[in-house]
Amino acid sequence: MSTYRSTYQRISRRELHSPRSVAAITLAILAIACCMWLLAEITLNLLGRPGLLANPADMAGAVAGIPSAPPVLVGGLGVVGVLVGVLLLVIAVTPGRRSRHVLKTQRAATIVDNEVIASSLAREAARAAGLAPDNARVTVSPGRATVHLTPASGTEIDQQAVLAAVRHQIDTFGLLRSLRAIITVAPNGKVGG
Amino acid sequence: MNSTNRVLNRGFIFLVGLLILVVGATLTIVAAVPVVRERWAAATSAGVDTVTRWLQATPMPDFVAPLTGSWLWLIAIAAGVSLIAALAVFSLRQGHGHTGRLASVNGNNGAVAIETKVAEQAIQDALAKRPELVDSHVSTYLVRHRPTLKVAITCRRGISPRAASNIVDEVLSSFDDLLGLRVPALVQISGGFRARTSQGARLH
Repeated sequence: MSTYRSTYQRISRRELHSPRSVAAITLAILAIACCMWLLAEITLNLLGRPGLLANPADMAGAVAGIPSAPPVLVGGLGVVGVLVGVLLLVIAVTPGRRSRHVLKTQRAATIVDNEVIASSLAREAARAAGLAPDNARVTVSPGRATVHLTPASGTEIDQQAVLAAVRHQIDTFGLLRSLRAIITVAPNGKVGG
Repeated sequence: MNSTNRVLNRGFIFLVGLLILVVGATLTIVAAVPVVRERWAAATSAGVDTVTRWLQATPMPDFVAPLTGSWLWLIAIAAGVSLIAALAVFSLRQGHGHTGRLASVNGNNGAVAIETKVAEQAIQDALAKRPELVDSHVSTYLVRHRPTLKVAITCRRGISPRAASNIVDEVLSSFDDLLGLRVPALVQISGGFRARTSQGARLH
């Protein structure tokens, strides 16, 4: 990280958070569609032709006539508007973390999908518990790795050993933000686990 | 990695959200409070009258024959067209930032330019030989005006991300030696559950 530290920090930060491109482009396309419709109405009005849906005078009349419309309809539209607005503000302000982690490395900025961490921990947990790989399931969140184990019927799992193995495995990864390991064992075993 | 302006994205979403929120809140208040409803009727009719007077005071000259009405509409059309153009440019500029030039070295007898294809093919080729990785893709972006490699790899199920990262680091270091330069790089490790080598066998 020595030579390009600030570049790597910038890249890591950008890779860990959503660019919000989908929302922005969707809104831009909707706004363009609205603008085009308004322009078409204005142009038709200037040419003296009837409008597509409403000419500008009708639109002004509709806005002025809101109080005489049924209050339930107007209020309903208003509430929908408030909800959509709040949703967009939330999208704009929240960090939008992606499910990824940063690995401490020398040569490059390294980003790992949580899926890969989970898969590796699942293999290690299954090995330590003496289970088939499909009977260990791991979910990884920004701060935690939860290991769900399904034991073979009639056998017991040494949870301390699994916990130690998973912790050791997490340490070998060298994550920038380390994970806390949690083990849960399913109450009902599975034949052939 | 790409040059998408994220502050602009969020700013735009924020502004549109604020606009929709204000319109929604206004409608709700108009529907709910009788006093506001009366005021709204008075204010909008006054506003419509004022705008109508402006439009009547600015007739279009005679030589634009088929068009009738106020020339203020032409200003509105120009504003609308510029807004559409701005929004289109905003949408199309997302996700860019690729580059084709990895490095240039100026010597006494001329200059050497190295294309990014050199790095992309060499690194992909070296990674293709590793059984731990299912797939790899290398591309080059400009980050802070400097070419930066993006090495995206897909690992097999259960491979430790540290092991995968070490493999790529090793390849990158060899490439550094080959090139005589250190190009900044991003390694993106994905994959996991779906990338199994073979189905599990079951004995009866």
